Order: sequence, then structure tokens, then C-alpha cells
Amino acid sequence: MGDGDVSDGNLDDEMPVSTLNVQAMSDEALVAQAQQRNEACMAALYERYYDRIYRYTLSRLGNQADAEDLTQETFLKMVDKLHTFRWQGIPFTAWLFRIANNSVVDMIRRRSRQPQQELNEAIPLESGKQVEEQVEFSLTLKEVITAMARLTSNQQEVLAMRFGAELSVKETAKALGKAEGTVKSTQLQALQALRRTVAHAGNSLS
Amino acid sequence: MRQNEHNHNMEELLEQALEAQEQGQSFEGLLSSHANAAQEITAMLSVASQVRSALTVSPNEEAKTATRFNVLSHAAQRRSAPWTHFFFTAFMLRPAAAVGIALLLLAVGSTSAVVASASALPGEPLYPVKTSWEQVQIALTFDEMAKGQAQAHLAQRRTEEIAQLADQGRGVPSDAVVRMSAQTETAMAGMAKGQDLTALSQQLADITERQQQVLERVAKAAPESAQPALERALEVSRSGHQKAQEAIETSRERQGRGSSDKSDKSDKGDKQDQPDGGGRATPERQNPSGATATATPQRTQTPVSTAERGKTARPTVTTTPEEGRSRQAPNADKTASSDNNNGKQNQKDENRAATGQNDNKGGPDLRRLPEEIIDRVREALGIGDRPRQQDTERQDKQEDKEKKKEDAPRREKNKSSEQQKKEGDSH
Repeated sequence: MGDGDVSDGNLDDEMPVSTLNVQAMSDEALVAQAQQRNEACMAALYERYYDRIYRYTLSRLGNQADAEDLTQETFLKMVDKLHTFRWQGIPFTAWLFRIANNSVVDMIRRRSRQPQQELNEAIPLESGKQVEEQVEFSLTLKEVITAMARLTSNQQEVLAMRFGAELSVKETAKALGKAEGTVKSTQLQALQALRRTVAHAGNSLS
Repeated sequence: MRQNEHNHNMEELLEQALEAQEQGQSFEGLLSSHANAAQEITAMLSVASQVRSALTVSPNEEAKTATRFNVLSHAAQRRSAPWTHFFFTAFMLRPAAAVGIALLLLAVGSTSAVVASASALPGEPLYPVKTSWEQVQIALTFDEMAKGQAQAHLAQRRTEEIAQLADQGRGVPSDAVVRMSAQTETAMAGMAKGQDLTALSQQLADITERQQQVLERVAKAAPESAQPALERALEVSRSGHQKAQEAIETSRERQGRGSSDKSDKSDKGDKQDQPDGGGRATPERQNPSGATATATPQRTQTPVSTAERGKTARPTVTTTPEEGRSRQAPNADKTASSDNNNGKQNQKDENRAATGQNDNKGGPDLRRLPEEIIDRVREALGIGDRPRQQDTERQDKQEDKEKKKEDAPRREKNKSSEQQKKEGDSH
């Protein structure tokens, strides 16, 4: 090996990072390399999913610090468990979000043992907004999180995965271990409930 | 039955409309054949759009970079020996437990491996021990400024490791390049937190400049297939260098604005006790010969909120408990000596030594770490103090005071007798 060669790391089974255009690689290829302990591929997976995992945890927990912590926890677990992942019926995205969801559920359980903060406060819509003019106003993050907190846990999961993490119905179903029909049904109920909640808040201000 | 069918249709219709909306397509045509449901679906699509838009938030870049560093370090540790993985994980997830583990490891004398690993390079068996130990230092660093400096030290250390591998004509593992970039990004993120921006920014500017030299040198000899990865690493360095330069400029501008006000104050300020150094030994007092670089180690500790909350550790970096000690990383010395930048660096080192500033060039001196760690562990666990220089000093001062008190009546007596003598002479 010559001066300055970028070698393939310390393990024989690792491909040289230089030969991989990680950004163009599929999840499957990245995971396969990351399972062989290729750090560049691990980093690429992290970059690819960080924002979505963060948005998912944020929309479930409504707190930036907790969301950041759980996002880190999700990726640390990913590193620990990646060697167990097999492409058998469940895509990597769903597998990763299942980890994230389990972490969220654990945290919510821990929170439930602590005094709860009041979540039933009125959703503060900006003055003058009419719910019937929904297209013309935009809900803030706080408004959405407050409104989502009133939904059932299942509905929150589905909305957070569908609209926070931008998963498809199929991916959401796999991540939650549910049938696609159930996800669609929950999605409908969640949006109906959310619409009512927002409408109620809007009417109370109008 | 009809209700079920209606719901099912609504679910399907909603999903189709959502997909169309997501892809930016019109869904009006889709709804035109479902006039009775169109209004409700439209309203739900509107809410869905608002939710999607509201949840499209950008994460905090600093937290993202920090987590990236932790995750990649964690992955790197998993490649290494199981005990180092355990060691690192313990520090990352449970700071309190980590302190206990550090104590345990110290008790069983495992630090010999740590000391031996100080000069390990990427790919060598002891390298994971070295990086694990760095994480220990990180976990036990609480002062923000020290963290910022320590982040920079690690970035520099990663750079010099690569330079040294290249010097020796050995292959540069891909991990090493990725780790260096990750560490540089973390150090840059920490720059915003630092109070002494000028010094830290200058340090980072130097490091990133050196990094570019090293990477360009490695790139010259690397095969074509390696270039994209090296280019990415170079990009991180260039971007970091630019940010550091901007920070220096900003800092200078601020200083320029305030210089006229400060000119009078500075003379007075020099004579006053430094806010963070008031309780420490002043180098001059300790060593009048001027060897001030070996002043008492700085030991500022403020428990961070994450530690208090028992949260996962942020990417804190190794401390500089050894601040004030003259030390140089063995790796850095050899490689820097062959570098053009070396003259500049040496000049800086001399200046620092002359002004009593710390030389952190080589990062923490692992040979001195056990004592530092023992101190920190003791403090963290509240198990009593080891006699320290500061304490000794304080004690000395106290003794001086008491001595002065005792001498006071004697001096008074002497004074009065002298006065009497003078009066007698005058008569």
C-alpha cells in the first residue's frame, strides 16, 4: 500500500469507503455495508434518517430536548442491533421506526408515572383565523402538537409516522406491526378528530 | 354494513387524495366523482397539509452533529474489544454509572493499557483503548470552554494520526477519515458555545488548515476511487476553516469597537485578579524563574444539565484537565516537524510559553490522566479530597495570615520601642 492510500479499514470484509458513493446507495446496500462495520455507510444511514426520526419523536413527545435524546437513543440502538436485521418482509425504514416507536412508548410510560403537565389548554390559533379558511392559514408546530396530544395513542402514532416522518401507509403498517387497512382507518379517524379539535379551537376564537 | 362500506370508501379515498397531494398532483378530479364525501375529504386534506407543514421542522444542527459524533463513536467502539464497548456505552448512557466504572477500572489498574495506548494509531490494537479513554475524559468534562478546547484537540489529534500514517507510508483507514471529519464538525459546533471565541476560532482555523494540507497530501497518493471520500472530508475542513475565519473576524471587529473603552481599563484589569484565576496559584508566585507553563491545572467544574437529568450524554469532549501542563502528543510531534506549518506553530508555541499560556497542541497527556480522573471521580462521588496544590496554597495563605496575626503585637511593640528611642534621641 502506497503513501496515503485510503485503505478499507481494519477489517477484511469492509469495502473501501472510497469506492462507495454512499449518497446514491439504496438502504439495502448501505445496511449491508454498515453491517460489515463500514463507518461511512453507517454515517450515511444516520444522515438519511436523522431528520425523519427527529420529527417523529418531536411530534410524539412535543419537546425538543426529549426528541433529541430519543433520536440519539434510536440510533444507538440501531448500531447495537443492526447485525440482527435481515431483509425478511420488513424494510429497514420500518425496522428503524419500530425502534423509535418503542423508545417513544417507553418514555411516555415513564412520563405517565410523573406528574402530567396540562395538555388540554386551548389551541392558540391566531386571532381572526377561520377554520373554514384552513387553506389560508397555517398551524404552528405548537398548535399541531397540542392538538395531537388529544388524540388516542394509536392515532398519534399514525399521524406522526405519516406526516412527521413521511412514511407511506405500507411502511407505517410495518413499523407498527399492523395491517395497512388498520392504518388507513386510524388515519381517517385521526384526521377527523384533528379537524374537529381545530374547528372547535377556531370557533372559540372567532 | 353500509356504514362499514362507507368508511372503507372514505379511507381509500382519503389515502388516494393524500398521495396525490403529497406528489403535488390535483385531487379535484378524484373527488368529483364522490360529491358527497368531497367536502369532508377536502377539509381533512387541508388539516393533513397543515400538520405536514408544521411538522417539517429542521433539527438543531448542533444537536444533530453531536448525536452524529456519539453514534459514530459508538459504532467504532463496537468494532473494538467488548470491554471498551461496555466502557464507552456506560459513559454515554449513564454518566453516574460511568464514574463508578472509571473508579473500578482505576482500582484494578487497567490504566496501564490506557497509558500504552497514547501513541496508538488507527488500525492498531490499542487504538480503541485510546479513543475510549478520550470518551472517559469527555464524560468527565463539565466546563463549556474546556469542552470546546478539548473538541478542537481531538480534531487536531485525528488529523495528526492520519498525517503520521501517511508519513509512515501506511494505508489510511476509511474510519480515520470519517472520524476526523465527524470530530471536526463537532469541534466547529462547539465553537459557538465558547466564550473566548478568538482563541478557539484561531485554534480551529489552524487545525482545519493543517487538515487540508494533510488531506491534499493523502489525496495525491490515493487511487481515483478514494477521491470522492477525501473530497468530502476536504469540504468539511474548508467549510470549518471558513467559519473559523469568520468567527475571528467578527471577534476582532467587536474588539476593535471596544478597544478605546478598554484601553484605560486594561491596565487596571491586569492588576486585578482574574475572575477564574483568583483562587489559583499565580505562576509568578509559584515559580519566579518564569516557567509559568506549569501552573496549576484548571479545574472548573459545573455539572451540566444533562448529567443532572440523567440523560444521554451529549458529545462532550475530552477535557483539558492538563491545561497548563507542558505536554505534546507523541503523534503530533513527529508529523508536525516535517510540515511547513511547523515553523508557524513553533512560533505560536513559543509565544504561548512566553506568555504563560497553556500549550494544548497535543491534547490531553494520557500519562497524567489517572490522577486527573481520580480527582474528578472523587469529586463526582463526593468521597473526600485528595490534597491538591490549590488546597495547599490556601492552607499556606491561611498559615501566613495566622503568622501575621501572631507577629502583629510583636511588630506593634517594636514600633513603639523604636518611637520611644527616637523621642529619646531627639531629647
